[in-house]
Amino acid sequence: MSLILIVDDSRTVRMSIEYLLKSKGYEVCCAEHGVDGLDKLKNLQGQGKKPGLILTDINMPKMGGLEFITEVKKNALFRFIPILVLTTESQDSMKMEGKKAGAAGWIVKPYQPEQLVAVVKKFV
Amino acid sequence: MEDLVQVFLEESQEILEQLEEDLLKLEHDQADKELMAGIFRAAHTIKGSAGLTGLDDISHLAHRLEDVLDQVRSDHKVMSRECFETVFQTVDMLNKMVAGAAGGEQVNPNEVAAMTERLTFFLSEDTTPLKTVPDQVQQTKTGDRIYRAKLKFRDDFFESGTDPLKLILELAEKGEVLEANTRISTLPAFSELDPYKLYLSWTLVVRSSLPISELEEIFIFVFDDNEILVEDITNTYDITNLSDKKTGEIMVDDGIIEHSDLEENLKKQKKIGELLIEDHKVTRRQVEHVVEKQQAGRKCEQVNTIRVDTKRLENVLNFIAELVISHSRVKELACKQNDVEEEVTTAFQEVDKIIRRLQEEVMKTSMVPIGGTFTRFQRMVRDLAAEQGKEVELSISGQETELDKRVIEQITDPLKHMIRNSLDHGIEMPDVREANGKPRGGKIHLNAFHQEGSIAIEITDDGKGLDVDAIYRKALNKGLVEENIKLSKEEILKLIMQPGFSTAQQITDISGRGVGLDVVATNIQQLRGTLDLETTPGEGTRFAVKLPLTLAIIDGMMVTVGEERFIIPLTSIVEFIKARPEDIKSVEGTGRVINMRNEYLPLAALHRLLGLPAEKTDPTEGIMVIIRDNRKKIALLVDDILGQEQVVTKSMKENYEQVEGVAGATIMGDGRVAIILDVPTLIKMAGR
Repeated sequence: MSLILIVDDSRTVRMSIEYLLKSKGYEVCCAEHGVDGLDKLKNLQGQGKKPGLILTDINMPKMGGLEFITEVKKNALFRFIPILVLTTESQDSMKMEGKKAGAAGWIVKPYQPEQLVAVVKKFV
Repeated sequence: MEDLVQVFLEESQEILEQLEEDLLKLEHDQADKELMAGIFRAAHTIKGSAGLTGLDDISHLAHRLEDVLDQVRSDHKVMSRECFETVFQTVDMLNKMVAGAAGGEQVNPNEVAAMTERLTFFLSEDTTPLKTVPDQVQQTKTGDRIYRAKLKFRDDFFESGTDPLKLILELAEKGEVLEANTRISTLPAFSELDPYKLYLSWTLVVRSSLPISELEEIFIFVFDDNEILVEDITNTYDITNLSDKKTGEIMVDDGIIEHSDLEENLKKQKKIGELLIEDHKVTRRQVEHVVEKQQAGRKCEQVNTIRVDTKRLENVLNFIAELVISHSRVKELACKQNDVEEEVTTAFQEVDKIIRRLQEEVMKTSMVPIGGTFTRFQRMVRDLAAEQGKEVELSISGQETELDKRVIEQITDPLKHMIRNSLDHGIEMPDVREANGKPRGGKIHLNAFHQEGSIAIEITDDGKGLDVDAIYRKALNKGLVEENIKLSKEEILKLIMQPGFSTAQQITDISGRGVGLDVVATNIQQLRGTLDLETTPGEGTRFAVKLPLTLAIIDGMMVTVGEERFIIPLTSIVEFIKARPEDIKSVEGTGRVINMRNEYLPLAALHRLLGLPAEKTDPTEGIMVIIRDNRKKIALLVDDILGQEQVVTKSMKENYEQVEGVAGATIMGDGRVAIILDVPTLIKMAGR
């Protein structure tokens, strides 16, 4: 019932999160980078769908995660969708930059599956 | 998940191919930032994906590669030929490892380790060690506890997309909700309500067997920008003692209303007098009379306070300081004339006394109890202990001890570092403590008290103590001491306060870097204080800080050496003696000593220490001033004593480099400058 959008340039990351979330009953949509993510959001909107949560990587080609968050937050249709950034290690600075851009929280890679699900459950 | 590995292998082969191509291009054009960004991203992606797929070896090697690239990228460095070589070889190895994971020939782990090591060579020293997935935090058994969570979010909280209800429900899952109160008094009238804003706040009381950290974890994303407080109220949560409390107070405790709401509405409440008047039971005049009587009574016990800007207070202190100088000047001018009338001298003495009292009173106004600073450390100790898996209790005494506000401001950081030091290096891990027959929980005690006109602050821990031999060996290694010089235990301990001696093996940190004890010692010295430490192996360490009550004014004795005049702080002077020839003895190795009532004190001449010409170089001709810091006494030879003076310190730091043995300078009544001596340093210099 709840739809989650995953934006990450790594196919492995996208697939593993998709697999995990689908197994928990979420509907999942994937994008490769920020520009793709914005396109996917608009497409979904056209189908009358809206994600309940977005997970986005930071470092991606074409449009990185921070810019993507800023773009999403600018759009009145999407601004209340919670966004989590996917960061590596525990780069505190990235967590904070993400929050500044408008993210609601973060997930640190590599994550334990149950950790990721626990965080996602906070939102959808 | 089989196919996930498959996806990773395919993806990483593609990435590595591209990476190699890009590296070759980069070799020809190192300024291409976009190329660099792509290369960095490739290493980053492989690291992350491999970690997800459980291929930790690949992930670690890619991580190191990423570190090297990151450093090149952010420092705008040019990659050396060697560095390129190593990076290429790393990529080759990653390729082999990926092939190995796909079922091909396995790569020897030793080779991987060697390659990781080679990459490390290109990193500057301060790179953090590779992190492995952290162990699950050990869950401490606490039994059932009662927690209160106060949740007040920003009014634009919805913008983040977070739903407060989700968080509250998550909290409810962690235990049994005993109370849930919503504060609605902040809700505006319906016509003014902005549906995009959050107006409510909540207070929940939850009974749970989980540690407090698990409950705080729920709010991890919102802690920083919102007012979230989770506290353990097991000891105070007791319905029965509510009977003493007023309804309004309970409502404030429960978070239904804010304190300001209570005050506002209490004001609206009609007084008993008004009600009685309305009921024609009493007359207005009767009520007024009673109120007057009541107020007169209250006035007696009330302490009236006003707030004053500290700037103003500082100005007042500065003016008093100037007044002291001008006064000494007038006194000196007036008393220069011959046959000064006795009345004049008495008048001056009177003024002296008044100024002194005025000074004391004003100084008292800028004194604040140190308790506030102490309690701030509680949180720090709690967090640090939790972070390191230690159990530490910080106890406090002497919190009412008052200090100059400026001293408190400047001593806070040094104290923080000493407490950190005790916690990091003193207190052992609970298991180690237990094995040594100590209670699992360590103790750090903070104490402040008055001592001989100064303030003493002590930090005592019951940790493992300092290893004097290890300190000595380390100091030898660092070249801080010479091998052939014998040092006492105290002298060895002092070595850890020397610059260049850092006891920290590694920086264990989240909230700020640890600073060496040398910085702490210097800061304390700048406050004209002293730092001492005592340690007993296995039992603990004590830092003892001694500080002056105020920084601005020193009571000192003026002495002369040659043409120069010096001020010795009175707090450091024990007595003055005139030495007889038979009192002075030469001792091999340590120089001359003086026999003062069968106590032998080292003898030093001020003119020698400071390299000045003197009138009297023979100890029996001049005057010996016995000075001390908090553990050592020496006899200091000066030409003459001029008398007691109260002087205002002027720092010389801006004008001169720090001169050893000199604490500052002051301007005397006649406009001449006198040097204020730094006794602890002088004693140190004399010991050399």
